[in-house]
Amino acid sequence: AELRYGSSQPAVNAVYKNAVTPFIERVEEQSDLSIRAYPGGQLASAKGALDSLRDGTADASLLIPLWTPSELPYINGLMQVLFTGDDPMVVTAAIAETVLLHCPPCREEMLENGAISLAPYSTSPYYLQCNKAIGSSDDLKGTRARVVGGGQTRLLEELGATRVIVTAPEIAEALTRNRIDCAVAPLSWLQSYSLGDGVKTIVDQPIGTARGMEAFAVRKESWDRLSDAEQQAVVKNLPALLADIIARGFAEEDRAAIAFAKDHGISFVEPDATFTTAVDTVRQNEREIVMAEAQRRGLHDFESILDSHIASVEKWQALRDEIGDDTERFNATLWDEIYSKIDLD
Amino acid sequence: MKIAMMAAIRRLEYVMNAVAVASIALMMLHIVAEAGTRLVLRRSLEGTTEIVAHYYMIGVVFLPLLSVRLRGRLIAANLIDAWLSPAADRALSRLSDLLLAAWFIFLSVASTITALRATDTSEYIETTTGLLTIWPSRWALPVALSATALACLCAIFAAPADRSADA
Amino acid sequence: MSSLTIGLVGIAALVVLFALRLPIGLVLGGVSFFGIWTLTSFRTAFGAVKSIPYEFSASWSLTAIPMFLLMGAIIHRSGITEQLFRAARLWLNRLPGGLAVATNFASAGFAAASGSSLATATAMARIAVPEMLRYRYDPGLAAGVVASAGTLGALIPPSVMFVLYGVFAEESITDLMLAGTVPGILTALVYAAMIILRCKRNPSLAPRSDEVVPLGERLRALAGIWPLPFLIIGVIGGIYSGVVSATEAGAYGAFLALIAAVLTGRFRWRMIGEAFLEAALNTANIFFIAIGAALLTRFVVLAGIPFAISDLIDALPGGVVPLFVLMAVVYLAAGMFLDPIGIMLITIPLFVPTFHQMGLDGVLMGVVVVKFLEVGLLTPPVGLNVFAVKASIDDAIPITTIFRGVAWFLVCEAIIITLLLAFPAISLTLPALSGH
Ligand code: NA
Ligand code: NA
Repeated sequence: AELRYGSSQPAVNAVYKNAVTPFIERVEEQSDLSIRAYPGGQLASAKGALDSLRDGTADASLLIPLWTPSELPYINGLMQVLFTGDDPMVVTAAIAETVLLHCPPCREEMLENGAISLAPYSTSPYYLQCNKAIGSSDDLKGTRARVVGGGQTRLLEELGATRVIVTAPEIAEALTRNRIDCAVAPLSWLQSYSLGDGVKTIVDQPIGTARGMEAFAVRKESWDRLSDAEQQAVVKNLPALLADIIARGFAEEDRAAIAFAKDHGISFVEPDATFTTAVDTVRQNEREIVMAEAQRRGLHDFESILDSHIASVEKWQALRDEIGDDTERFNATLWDEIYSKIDLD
Repeated sequence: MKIAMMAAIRRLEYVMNAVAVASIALMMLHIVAEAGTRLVLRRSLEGTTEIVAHYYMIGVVFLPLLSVRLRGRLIAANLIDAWLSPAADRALSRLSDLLLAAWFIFLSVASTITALRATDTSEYIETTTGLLTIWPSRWALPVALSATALACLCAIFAAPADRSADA
Repeated sequence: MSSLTIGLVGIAALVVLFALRLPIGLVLGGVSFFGIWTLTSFRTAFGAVKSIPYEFSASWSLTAIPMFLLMGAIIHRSGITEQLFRAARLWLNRLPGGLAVATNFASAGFAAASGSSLATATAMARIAVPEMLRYRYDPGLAAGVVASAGTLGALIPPSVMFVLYGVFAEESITDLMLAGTVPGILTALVYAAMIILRCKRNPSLAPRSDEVVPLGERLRALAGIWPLPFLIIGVIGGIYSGVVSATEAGAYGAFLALIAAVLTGRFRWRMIGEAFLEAALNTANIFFIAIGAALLTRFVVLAGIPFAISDLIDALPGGVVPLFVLMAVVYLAAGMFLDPIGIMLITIPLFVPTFHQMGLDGVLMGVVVVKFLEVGLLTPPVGLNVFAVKASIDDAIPITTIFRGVAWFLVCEAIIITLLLAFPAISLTLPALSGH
């Protein structure tokens, strides 16, 4: 069979180039499937990805649930968790375990949109990146910062900064023209969104990861059309897809970003006690923040899902120590703990 | 009957243009207010970009379509006008209105389905600090597009003399 | 029929239906719908129609278009522009095509405040075309200069196009904008030279009056034009001091224009109401076409045209010249029918990796690509800048006349693009000087 895969990521994006493309090649090699990939939002924009699966524009797609919160309320409820775990490998495994195995409403809401979740992942951490020197947390008082949301808003309050709203493509301009002083963003945005044009200092302390993105969500109708062998070829390769997103996607992006920072005189500064205390405060209050959000969105029984996710993070934190940087072992563990147990019928 | 119909469309045009003008005026004021708040209070108003995009923008893009059609200002490539006889010219105008009506009816059916779904899920989007309800703005499309379809249909059935007066 | 054939049949159908004088937005949308249906299923085609119109329009970055349209409408309705052109006529009477040259440079100034060529063209059309027609300028020249000089909006920073290119190709947005500045100014100079040469050879294009105006009167006329520089400098200042973003600049400019109207004593509620309505009508008119173009992009993608282009790139002989020739062909062909954002979606994933492979400078190629995209706004049958001018001047000039007037500027573009490729320093000196 033939599938159309759509992604809103540019063709040069490391996740697309180093993880998704090899995944597609492996699946094609090991089955009769042929997958045509359309990067850069050709098939549908980030906002339109879920529509594209529902209507059949795409058979499979990268999905950023943040754009469709009312269609995917439970997954978005989980996306409000930012500070629990900051190792992308741990958080990716944990969010995949939660969404694929321990969150029946997540699966139902995807199905209501005619889609199936196969590869939930988490981005690498966010950092506070500023257009001026930051000596201590005192320098952050009264700064204007762009944040993603959730506990990060609370973090700003703790640090005495204010929140200014800027869309992602506009951050670089906002930083260079001093419309904002700081932005909370992944390191890779130094290049991909040109934050490097304005950033001078990065506080070397992870402040949250965005979890719940979908590297390969499939359209239910298209999935059912596949033969058993084809379905298996996809599923068998999913652990390696997630592993590559971490090892060859984000790790490489972060390495490149750090090299870029070095080349462009951008300095990493150690967080002081005030900063780490603020982060700890937010982390401790995160459960409360997330549950308040869940209530606002009318999610039932979210507490048990959240608890199971927090448990998954702890479980994978322990497994992480055993796995180390052994990608093969990470694959095998993802298979044993998650993908061997999923039921896609 | 025809006259009553035309009068009703004119009233509709007036109302939709008024809402469109309000949308564009609010868009300007809201963005200026956002910049002012940022300058003075060093923080943003809540949800400016989202409100502007999902409400004012939708109002400005779709509601004036009826008026654009009534004024005969929809852009076409008039490549062959010089060679057209008056009869052929009229025939082409009617063909254009017929197809436009069909297209706008089709679009309004499509957008009604989308709007119903959005209403059903109480569609909202994420802003940095909260949620913004957007399903009401989905209904601007069916309203604007079906009104425009109606105007195209009226133009077809109106006498040529009336039509030129309308255009 | 293969997908590719369906795509080509669809494009042929577009041309035939345009010729039948059907509204452009209707033709683009309708052909795309039936095309997608043929390629995939009714459900997928219907899905595109269900989601694209709303999703395309509910866009923060596109708010710059209605806002700059509003700014232009207020400036025009408040009579500020009459003053400006009276002064331009008094001072530039001896220059062949003086008003067109003035319009060209006023567009460059406006471009430094506006992020979008569509917005620049529309605002300047409202400002300049009626004045040039009043002085019996050739309609093709009058509308052509506005449509063409509008493209400076995307070349001279700020520029929405460079922001999008920077995100899609992961190039530095600041470097791209710096790199676009000199090519933008160069474009304005080449345009001006062409206008002067044409009007010198054929004075009937831009009639000159023989009246001799005393210096005192000329100076008085000059004093009356302060609102326009006030607005342009105000908006540029707002952007560079960080008070407003490039996207917000339109709203801020419209607001400043209202203030200017009050200060010059020309504020009337009725006039302001008309300006707001005019801006709303033009927005709806342009977006009806742009939504059709967005649907067409989906059709073209599903027809596999990106893969066909990718095959062509793979089949290229070595060296940069064949690549540049292919780019010119692809961008000119795509630019005939699609909108710039659609073309960017389709072509950037194909060309950017090739630029990297061949070791071409990403920033330089960004400038060249944006230049090509801007040319697409001027070429028939779908030339969005031409339509924008047409929409804002109403029935005054037939669309074919505008396209004919634009043809001369396209000749200039061929020269400018060749220069940019042959002498990368034109683009790259400024980013290098600023230490990026
Ligand atoms: Na500009
Ligand atoms: Na064109």
